[in-house]
Amino acid sequence: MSWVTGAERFYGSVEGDREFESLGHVTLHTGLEDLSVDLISYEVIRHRLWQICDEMGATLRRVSGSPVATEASDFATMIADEKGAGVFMGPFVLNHAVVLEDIIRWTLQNRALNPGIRWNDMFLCNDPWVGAAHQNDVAVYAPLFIDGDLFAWSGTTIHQVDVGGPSPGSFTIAAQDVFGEGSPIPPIKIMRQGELQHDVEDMYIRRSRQPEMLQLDLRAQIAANNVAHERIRELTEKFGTEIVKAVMKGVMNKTEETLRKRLDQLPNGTWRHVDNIEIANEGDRGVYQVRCAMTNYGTDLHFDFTGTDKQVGMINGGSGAAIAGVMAAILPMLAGDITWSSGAVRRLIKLTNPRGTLINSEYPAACSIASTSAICAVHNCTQATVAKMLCTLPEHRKRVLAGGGGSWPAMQVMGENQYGKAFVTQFQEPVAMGFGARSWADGVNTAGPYAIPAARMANVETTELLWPVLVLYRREVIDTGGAGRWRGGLGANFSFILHGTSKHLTHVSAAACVAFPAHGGLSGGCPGNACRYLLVRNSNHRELMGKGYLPSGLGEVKGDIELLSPKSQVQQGPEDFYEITFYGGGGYGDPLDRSLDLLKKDVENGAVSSEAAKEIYGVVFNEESGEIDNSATVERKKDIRQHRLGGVKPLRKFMSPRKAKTIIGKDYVSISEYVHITNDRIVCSNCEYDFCSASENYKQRLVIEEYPITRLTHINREPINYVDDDIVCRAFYCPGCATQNEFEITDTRLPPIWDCQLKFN
Amino acid sequence: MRVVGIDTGGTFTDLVDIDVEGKIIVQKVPSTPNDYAQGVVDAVALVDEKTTSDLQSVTVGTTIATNTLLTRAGAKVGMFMTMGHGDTLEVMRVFGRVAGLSSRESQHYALTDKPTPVVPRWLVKEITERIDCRGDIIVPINKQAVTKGIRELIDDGIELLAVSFLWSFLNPVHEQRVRDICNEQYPDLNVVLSSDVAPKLGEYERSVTTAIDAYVTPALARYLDRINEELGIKNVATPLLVMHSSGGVGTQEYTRNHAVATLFSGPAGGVVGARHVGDRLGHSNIICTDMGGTTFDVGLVFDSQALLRASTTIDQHVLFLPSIDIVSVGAGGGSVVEVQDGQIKIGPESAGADPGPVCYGRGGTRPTLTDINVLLGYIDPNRFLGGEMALDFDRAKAVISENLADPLGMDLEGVASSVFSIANARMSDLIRKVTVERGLDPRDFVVYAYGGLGPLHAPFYGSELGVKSIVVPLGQISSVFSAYGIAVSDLLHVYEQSKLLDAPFEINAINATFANLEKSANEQLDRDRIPSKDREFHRYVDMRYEGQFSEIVVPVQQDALSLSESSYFSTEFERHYELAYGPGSLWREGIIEIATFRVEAIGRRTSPTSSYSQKGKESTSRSVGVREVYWPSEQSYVLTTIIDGNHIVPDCPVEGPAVLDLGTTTVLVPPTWSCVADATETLVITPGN
Repeated sequence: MSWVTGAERFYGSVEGDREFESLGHVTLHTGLEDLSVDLISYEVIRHRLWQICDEMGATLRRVSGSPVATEASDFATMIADEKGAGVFMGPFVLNHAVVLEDIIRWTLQNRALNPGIRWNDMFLCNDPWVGAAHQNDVAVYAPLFIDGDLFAWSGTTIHQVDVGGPSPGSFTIAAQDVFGEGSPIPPIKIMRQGELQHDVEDMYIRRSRQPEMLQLDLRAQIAANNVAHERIRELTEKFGTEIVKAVMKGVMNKTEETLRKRLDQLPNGTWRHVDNIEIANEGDRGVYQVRCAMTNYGTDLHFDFTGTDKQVGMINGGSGAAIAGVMAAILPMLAGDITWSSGAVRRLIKLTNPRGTLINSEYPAACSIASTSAICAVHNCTQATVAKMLCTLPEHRKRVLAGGGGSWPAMQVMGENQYGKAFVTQFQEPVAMGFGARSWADGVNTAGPYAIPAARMANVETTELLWPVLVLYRREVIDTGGAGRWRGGLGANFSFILHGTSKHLTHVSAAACVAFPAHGGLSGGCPGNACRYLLVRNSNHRELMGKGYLPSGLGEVKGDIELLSPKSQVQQGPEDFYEITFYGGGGYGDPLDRSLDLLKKDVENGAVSSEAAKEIYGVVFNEESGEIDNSATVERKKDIRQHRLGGVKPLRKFMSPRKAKTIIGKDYVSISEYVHITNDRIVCSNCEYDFCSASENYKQRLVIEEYPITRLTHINREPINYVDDDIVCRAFYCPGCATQNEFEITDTRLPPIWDCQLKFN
Repeated sequence: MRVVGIDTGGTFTDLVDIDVEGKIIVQKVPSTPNDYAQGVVDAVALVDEKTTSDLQSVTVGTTIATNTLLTRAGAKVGMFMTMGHGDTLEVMRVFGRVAGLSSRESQHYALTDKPTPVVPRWLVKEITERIDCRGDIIVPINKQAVTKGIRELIDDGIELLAVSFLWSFLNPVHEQRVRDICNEQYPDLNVVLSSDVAPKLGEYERSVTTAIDAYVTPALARYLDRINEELGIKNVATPLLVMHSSGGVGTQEYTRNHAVATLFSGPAGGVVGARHVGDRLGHSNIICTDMGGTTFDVGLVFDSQALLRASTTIDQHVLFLPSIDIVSVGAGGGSVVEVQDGQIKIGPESAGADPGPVCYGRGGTRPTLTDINVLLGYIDPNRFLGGEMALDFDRAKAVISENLADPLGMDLEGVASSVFSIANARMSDLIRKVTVERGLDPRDFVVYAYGGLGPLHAPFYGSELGVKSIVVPLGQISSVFSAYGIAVSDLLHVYEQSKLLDAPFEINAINATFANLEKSANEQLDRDRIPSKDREFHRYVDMRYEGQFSEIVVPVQQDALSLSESSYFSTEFERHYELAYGPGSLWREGIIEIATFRVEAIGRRTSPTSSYSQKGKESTSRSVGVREVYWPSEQSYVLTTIIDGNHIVPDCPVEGPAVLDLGTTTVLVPPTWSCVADATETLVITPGN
């Protein structure tokens, strides 16, 4: 129970397809049962609806004034059925789109009687307990009435740079509860039968430091909804409402059917993951866990978050956080090749998610950065469990990505620009993070966050035109991609000094995976780097530039390095040099298995240093020729394997990895690239070392080595700089052949995660 | 006096030879994918030798730049970039992973990748130099670094040097300094500057445009050399012109220094041709549709002008390249049709020319749209390509039955008509997207249909959009219409300058900027030897509300520049803005700004007058027989008159249902529709009530 009386009324429900109690004058157009649609109409209408959803996005992008929407595509569009179940969503930000469903359902439940839901009305909401991802993600959504019945909904959200509260950018790192943040707006009617309500609009924009931006974006959202309604109406006029509705239902059923078939092919079992979020608010030094156990029942996927830490500080999420994170993992991997009908996907998802945790908080927990904390943590967990499940079958393994960055390192800044105007903005450079590796190829460098399928970074020239900065460098960073047989994508860095202003710049930083990386590697791959924010105080860059040098690396300036906490607010002055390094993606497979040709290219292209090649990949380069020294490499790999087993020679000679057998069933099931189950035993796929019975956590039977995260990459700093808990790398090796087949980033006190527990009938 | 246009397609190289009376001779030779110049040379060889002295110009549309880029067969290019920013081509603004992909393609993360950059990272040197957003020099260029960098790249064997520094479009002095140093030390090294190629704000797009320009330059030069040689042998003294993506042509001298401008030059030809024919027929708003073997392409002519876009995506690279706005989907005659999860899927995979559709009998085993058209009676198996190639009707039928009808549990007729209708709907969806997203209503347009299959499908995708009529321009010529457009297009140069101005606007600043751009344009037209009377300038500004990132293109009337006050610009912006985003979308409190100035400089070429048919002695069009043809409106096959399109009588309407067989293409006149030809054999097909 919330200590605020009556707070529960605002809790949105994440269970789909619930019946509504009383809708007053609103009659729902539910469509006819078993209406069959001819193939032609079906295809034509399906394609048109999908295109309408795209057109909503195009409209938003063109009218919006916010670089967040237009450049980074931090927005969402959806067409939902009469009850708010998503039929189509645009490929923009997945988290925002999904939660529109909950917001619409809450609105139906609570606004039908008063103030009523009528023709040409539009609603606005950014309340995390109703369903919004966090207060910055403002939803504007509209019922579409046809012949007096509520036929469908269209919805959009845009991440607003500032929606009020004590901190610029509305990420309040010191907040103890939501009363110390931008105040949430439950669903309110912003458009009444076609007329924009100026009093309501003013109440909305008045709280912001950037009211014109909110105004302009509100118009973009209204325009996008109008476009959708106009087009859908044309469609129903041509084909009839019943036919169009039947197609909407058909599209959802198709998605549901395809996914159920996939779940049925995949083995039944439970996959687990634990993700860590550090620092609950400014000054805190704690580490908090989100726990997920995902069970495939063959028809449904059950996500159980029991055991997740209690709500704390300002890293919490509201009612929609869990489903947003779950869907962001399922859509691109399990459903990458089918229609993203989120309403249908939800039909096969069950959640067990107790209230009062940091991913499902009681009002009035602080939630302003939910999209980069709670939702990301859920996403990291579900990304890992879904990926591990898909790894069991070769045909699905090709859909898999290792974990990406793990969070979004927010860069909220406020100051005065070079034209003398005050501004608040959110830099979009953090999109320059690497993708995780695939099971058959490297991760894409600077590819974007997983929650944004088509992220875009502004040009340096645009950044310098708008804000008072001189960008010294923005490059892909060596050794940031998680090591593995397939390497994770590189992340970029971004460094600037102030330019054209005499005023200080205020930075609010808010992220996770800074004190240590998320453990996004798969099948023994290593994680990418942790994000690192820093300032070099009293740097000598001006002096250097005066002499004709242009510093383009941290090592080139002198000054006092100040590591910034992932929940911090600092000032940058004219003598301060700012640098941030974004995440690299996780690797796939044992780094010792990486092909020499690929590694040679990595070294040539500056993706991997020759030191890392030797230390992590076991490949030695001849310093003079730049060629691989083959005999030294053989020796080095032998040494590494011996070291992994504590100085003991591997029991078996290492063999090159086998192609996974495709026999499915009791006799042979893969758990990962290197481990399979056969005859109820869990066995190494390289050397056939018998770990244990199929009903045990085989990781307990592997050789375990723990070592500092600084060994992974030069970007990582000791966690003690940020947190008190002892967070380390924990590598797992096969006692037979020394293959690294699992990897964790963990608190030393926690036992190994039981990643995969298959069930046999 | 005659003009010749040549279009290199994937399968055929088309040559169109137009005389002063507008009589057109068409030559078709196979394309030569290993050496595209050969196809052009072969086509030129067919031009009547006795009349070469009569040639006014030879214009080629070429895919050489596109192919060089797509197959990564270009030059070894070295690149200089600003210190700290050498990864710009690799990072691709992050968006490079999905640029130009459909949302369907970009949502399947594991299958997305960035393209290989045309300049590998190890050939990119970061140079110490810095200019800021005001154009002020913050750190002067380091001459030693430049000299050392050039030497190292020369040692690495580069053929050209591309230079792209931050803010060079505002202040090109550092880039020019590099060129001066190069000229001094390595006079033979070709240096390409971003401030010349694409002087616009946005270092990624500017840099990649510059890099690709350098990358394709030598291949284009070799290609032009080959053609010159052949023209020399044929004693053709006339200038060789090259089609550009902007829809204009450039002299070969100009083009050799602007190689990137020839990307997409082929498809642009059709839109230019449509505008040309439209001018004569009084059609100012045209939806140009080109359907060939692999794709369906849509471009627009609005207010008698081909619509351009400022940036273009190719192979996931986004270029600052003014080009005719053509949008494609993979739906052509060769598009493979299959059943997936109980649904019909058409394309984008294509059977290409080899093996091609099943009915070609070259070993194709998967049904294509062409096979469907054969089955529905639209294409006569015995008269395909004027009877040159007999089609295997039975094989097509068997494969459609086995691959489509059986799995879906439908009859042959049902499945074929479904595929036909779905393909047409897909095309009308694309047209709708292209028009409505620009705030245009397709009902205000006529559809021009060309390419081998355009005239067959057009009445169906056109009627779904409610367009006024369908035009098959120049009858038979419609199948080689791009070559026609290439032959008749004017010279066009586009000059742009990024410059930010806030309202209220200073009219003198606006005038000065346009004057500057027009000065450059006039200098180029002098070099092109275009007399002043044949020059025409169109001025545009890209405008937006302050804070917005996407702009509205506002054409500037000539006399606006003599205005003493500048409310003209704000008023015009608001008019265009409302047109695009609908009533009520204006933001009265917003500050209006101009972001980019653009001048399109046209050098008019005397073009041939319209063609007059020598035929038409007969009083009615000649029917060559009847066959069973499926009409969707009747939901059945109907015995339909087949008319010899080569003997169609001008101004004498043909009532549907009818099929006009033009040899190179088939025109469908559905029931209740009618079709009338004019003296140029241009067919206008209109729906009945």
